[in-house]
Amino acid sequence: MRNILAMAKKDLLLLWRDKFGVFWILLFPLMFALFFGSIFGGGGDGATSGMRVAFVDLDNTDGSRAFIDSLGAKDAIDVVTAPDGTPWTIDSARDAVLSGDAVAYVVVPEGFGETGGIAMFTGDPPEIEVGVDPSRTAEKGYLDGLLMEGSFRRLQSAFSDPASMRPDLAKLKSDVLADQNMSDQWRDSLVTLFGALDTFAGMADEAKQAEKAETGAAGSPDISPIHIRHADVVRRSSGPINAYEISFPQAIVWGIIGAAAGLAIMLVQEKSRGTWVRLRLGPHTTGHILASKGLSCFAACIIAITLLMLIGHFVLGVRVHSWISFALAVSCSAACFTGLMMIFATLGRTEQAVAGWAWGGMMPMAMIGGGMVPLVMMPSWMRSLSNLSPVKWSVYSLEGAIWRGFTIERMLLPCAVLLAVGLIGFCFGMLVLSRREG
Amino acid sequence: MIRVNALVKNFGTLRAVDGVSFDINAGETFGLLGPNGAGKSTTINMVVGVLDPDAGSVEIEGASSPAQARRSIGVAPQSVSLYPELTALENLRFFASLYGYRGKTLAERVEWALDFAGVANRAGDRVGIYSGGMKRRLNLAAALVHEPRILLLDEPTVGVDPQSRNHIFACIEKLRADGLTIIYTTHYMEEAQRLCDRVAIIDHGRVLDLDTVPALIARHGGKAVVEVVLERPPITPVGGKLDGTTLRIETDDPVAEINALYADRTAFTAIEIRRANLETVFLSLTGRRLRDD
Repeated sequence: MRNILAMAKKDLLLLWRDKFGVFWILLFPLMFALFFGSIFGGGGDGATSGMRVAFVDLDNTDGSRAFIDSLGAKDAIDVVTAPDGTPWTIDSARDAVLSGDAVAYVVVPEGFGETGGIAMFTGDPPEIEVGVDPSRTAEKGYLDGLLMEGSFRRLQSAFSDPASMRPDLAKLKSDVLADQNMSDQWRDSLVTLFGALDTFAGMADEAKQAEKAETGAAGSPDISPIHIRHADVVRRSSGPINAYEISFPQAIVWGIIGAAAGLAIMLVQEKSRGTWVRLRLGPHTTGHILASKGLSCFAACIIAITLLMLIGHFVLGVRVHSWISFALAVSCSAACFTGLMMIFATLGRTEQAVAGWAWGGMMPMAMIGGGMVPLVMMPSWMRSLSNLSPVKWSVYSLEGAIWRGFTIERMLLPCAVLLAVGLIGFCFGMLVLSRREG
Repeated sequence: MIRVNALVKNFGTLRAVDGVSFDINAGETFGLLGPNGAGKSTTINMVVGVLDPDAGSVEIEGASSPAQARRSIGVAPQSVSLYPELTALENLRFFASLYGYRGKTLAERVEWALDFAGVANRAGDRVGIYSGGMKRRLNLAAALVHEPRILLLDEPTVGVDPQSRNHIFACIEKLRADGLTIIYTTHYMEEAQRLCDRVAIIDHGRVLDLDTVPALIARHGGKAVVEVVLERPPITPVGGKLDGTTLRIETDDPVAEINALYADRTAFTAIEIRRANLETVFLSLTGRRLRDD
């Protein structure tokens, strides 16, 4: 056992001295976490991180400004202003999109504020022009949805303030009566609707005034097709989720991948350098040497995770929901990639061959397993495919421990998968490498 | 001490070692001399148990398996088998620790090995930045750090500068004087001739002959040659072969031949005595030179 520990200690020292290895084990995962953490909304400077949109307000009324403000209040939209502080024109907003300063521009037309959000009944609603960066077409539909939501919010607002709605209704009614192109039947229908709405607005306003006199506060009718309550799906004991908590499980897996690849290469390196012969001549078996390789890989994974988490916790504010679950996830992930390391070490007889197999094998695992792109952004068939990747189970278990708030029972499945892969890989590697040594 | 009996090793269709047998006595320096690819390293690897023979057996200090005698064997492989990212001190500490050395004993052994290799003043430097000669010396020291009784040296002077080569020779001669049993493989006949008590000449996986160097020369080297460049062609017939003014005399006693030339007042401008050596022996046994390859 002493020799196994001595050999494992030596391997860890060699790994630490290998600048390329340290980059993949520590620096790259850290860069990964910082980069994606910032994208997911970290940044650490309190700045908004929504879609940057330039609003061209051609109407410039209270109504249009309220519409833009209501959209800007959303996390999903970051209202950008022109560099010189002047209002956007259509041309300057288009240039901002083309130069990448804004993801999209939105033109609020003249007369937008006059309709009070109820112009849809006339069949002639205001037309909002939207221009989206061609490279961000995926966000186009998302922005359309946000604009539509904002418009309905205006309608809701109008119904919430019946007194302010009545002048708009009167104007709409006179516009309809003056419209010569409209059919008589349609005109009668709209006039009847506006009359009924005006009656409703009058009665609602009276009810509101009466309520104010009685309670001292003006209540507002809850006029909305649905009421949405956003529930927090993350079980947290304190505070909102930190974006780095989302990016760190993936970063940790990259650290483990780097450690496993490094140790697989190092195992073959022993042979090319001739040190393998010296180790074989020592007073221990080949099994002991291979066991030491497994131990050093397991320890390297644990050390890499510990260092990453120390930085994550103390520098970036990453919190762990359950340390017991985290220890479980870390141990099982390290065991899994130790097994994979042993498999990859059997696949080549030169450093180049093993490096090719290790990185070439683990990259696709990371790609389909959510190590590069979060699983939620993948199509369903790829999410199904990801079940075959150990990376998916590793990320899943780490997320469960860090921010998904998994119970121990829920941790069992990913941990069992990871342990099974690790055990099979380790036994396979031991068998093949021992036989190869005769 | 070491008994090698009819070792055979095949790599695919190539028979690398074909029935090699020899015995090595305690305290003896035994040479395996042959060209590259002759089967020396394969034989060594089977002797120490790194390779399993297809046939034959190896007995070391009475143990029927090399694995049982590993503590008493030290090997300096042909390639420098050290960790270049570690310092000389770290390398030696690691290898010594594998043999159970701890604490003060470990420190003493490492200190001895550093002195032996002549790198004590650079013990804290990474081996990767050492010169080729320093690496070779440290490679040898790493084989000795656990105080083995048997030392296997596989081409220890390949790619070494003359100064380091002399240092290695001096080290080996000291170890020899200390009574260590040494197996030395080389394709440099002058090394085998200088260092080895007995030499096995090996080619194409077979031992062609095995004996002390003088005995091998006596058996296969033929007579010494005295080559004389005469001032003028002789008038009277002389012994030996005459080619223009160059006279070649094959003899068992070259000094007597030279005395005879003086006695005859033969005028000459140059004289050279060429004695048989292991190169001659190898040429005689195989029909080719050691370094034909």
